[in-house]
Amino acid sequence: MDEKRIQHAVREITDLDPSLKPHEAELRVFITNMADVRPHVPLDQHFVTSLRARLMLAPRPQVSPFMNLSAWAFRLAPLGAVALLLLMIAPPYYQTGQYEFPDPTADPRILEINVGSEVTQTARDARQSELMRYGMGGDTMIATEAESSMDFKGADADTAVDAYMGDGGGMNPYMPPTDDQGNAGGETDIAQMSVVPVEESGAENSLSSEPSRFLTVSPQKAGGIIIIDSVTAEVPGFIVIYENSETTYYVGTSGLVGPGTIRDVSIVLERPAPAGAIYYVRFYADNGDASLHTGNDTIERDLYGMVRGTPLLIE
Amino acid sequence: MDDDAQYALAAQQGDSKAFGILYDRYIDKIYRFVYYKTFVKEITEDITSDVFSKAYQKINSYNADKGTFSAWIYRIARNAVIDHYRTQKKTVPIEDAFDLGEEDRTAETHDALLTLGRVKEFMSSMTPRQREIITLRIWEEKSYREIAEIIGGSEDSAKMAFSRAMRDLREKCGPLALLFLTIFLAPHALPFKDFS
Repeated sequence: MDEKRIQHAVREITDLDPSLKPHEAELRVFITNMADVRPHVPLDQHFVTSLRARLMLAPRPQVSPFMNLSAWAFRLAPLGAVALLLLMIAPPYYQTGQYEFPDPTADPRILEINVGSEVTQTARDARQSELMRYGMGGDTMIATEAESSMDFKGADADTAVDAYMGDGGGMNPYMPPTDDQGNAGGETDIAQMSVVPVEESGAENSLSSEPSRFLTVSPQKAGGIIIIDSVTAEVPGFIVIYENSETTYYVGTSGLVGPGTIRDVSIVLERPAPAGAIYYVRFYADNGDASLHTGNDTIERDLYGMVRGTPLLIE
Repeated sequence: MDDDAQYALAAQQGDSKAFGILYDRYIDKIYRFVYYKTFVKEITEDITSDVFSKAYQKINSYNADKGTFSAWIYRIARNAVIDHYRTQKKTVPIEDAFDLGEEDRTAETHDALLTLGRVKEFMSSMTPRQREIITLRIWEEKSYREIAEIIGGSEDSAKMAFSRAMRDLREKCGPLALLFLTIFLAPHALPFKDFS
């Protein structure tokens, strides 16, 4: 406590309690000595960074959509809802004398897109189309795979799904496509399968809060090697370690892994990971050339086209 | 709405980075606050971890209309210390969570321990509230407004409590006690600082 603060503290006390004014010198001595014997606080920086990392990895508290509404907003909300409903009903009523709700069976917007050379897609509702715009058609790891709603010429929905998971429909980039007679054909270009290229959708670098569905990781000791507990993927790919939540620069990659389950995958880092850091682990599906190129290989995304990544705590 | 409240609001919306900023601002303050009540590094780390975990999980319970974020997190910290002593020392009155940790200072020099004992003697003559106010004012250099936010009450009541503590100390120990404090403590101030 510096001299100025001590003087200020003494003055405050004597202003509050004038009876202590004759003892100002004693007060000053006491406060000075109390300040002098203040214990040194052993704040360990490793503790600070580790705790911060653990907190950032903890599940986020649930956000209630009503948390920030004031009490008055709560009371007025029902009135607002009624007013809105009246506004919706009134104009048609006054025009026609009776209100007709829109026909829920009206034809939805139909979108036909050529996917590959043999498949056409029919979107049954706007939501499905929107998923396709992000290059994601369903809960699968490859951005351009089809949904169950896809119609294949001469095939049903189940066949459509199987086509992407097996080798029957020829859409698996790792298996040669087949024609109607089951004969192998040419390879299908993944890029042609997107309705809207991912780069144009703007989702290419948007980060999801969801971790990878294929990777299992445990906290690691600080150092130059990361060991991935397991990777379970349906297609071959690469495990890539990023030193932050962004996808701008990675510090380590695995060799080609999968398909199937592989345990204890070791990845050597470009530089040792410091204690307290949080790295992010992502999975890229190989485009068939068995070589990692983040521009060509397909990064794992969620249903909304946002990049999945599993946080990895360095202890 | 102050800066902290804006970050707290963002954290309530799910922005963990905003909570990280608040963490960076308060980790040192909360750690010190807890350490001055426990004087044991390991216990301080446990309680501090508990404070920030609770703050993160219950961030939605913070209401900027009812007080500052600083007051809110300090209240969590005070309660965490009380809970710790409630589980550790059930025979000790809860408000008397005051321990200069003498039993953990066996490695200290004889003089340092003697000085520690003297400080404790003077501090133990005060009420827990007076002790807390003096610690917050002198050791943590908090303003009376901040003290009032932490312990509750108004700024004026915090000032009055501090001046009363000074008067009571002087009355109980007499003017010579303060002189003794000067003679005795001053030469030992430096070694007393290294508790870790």
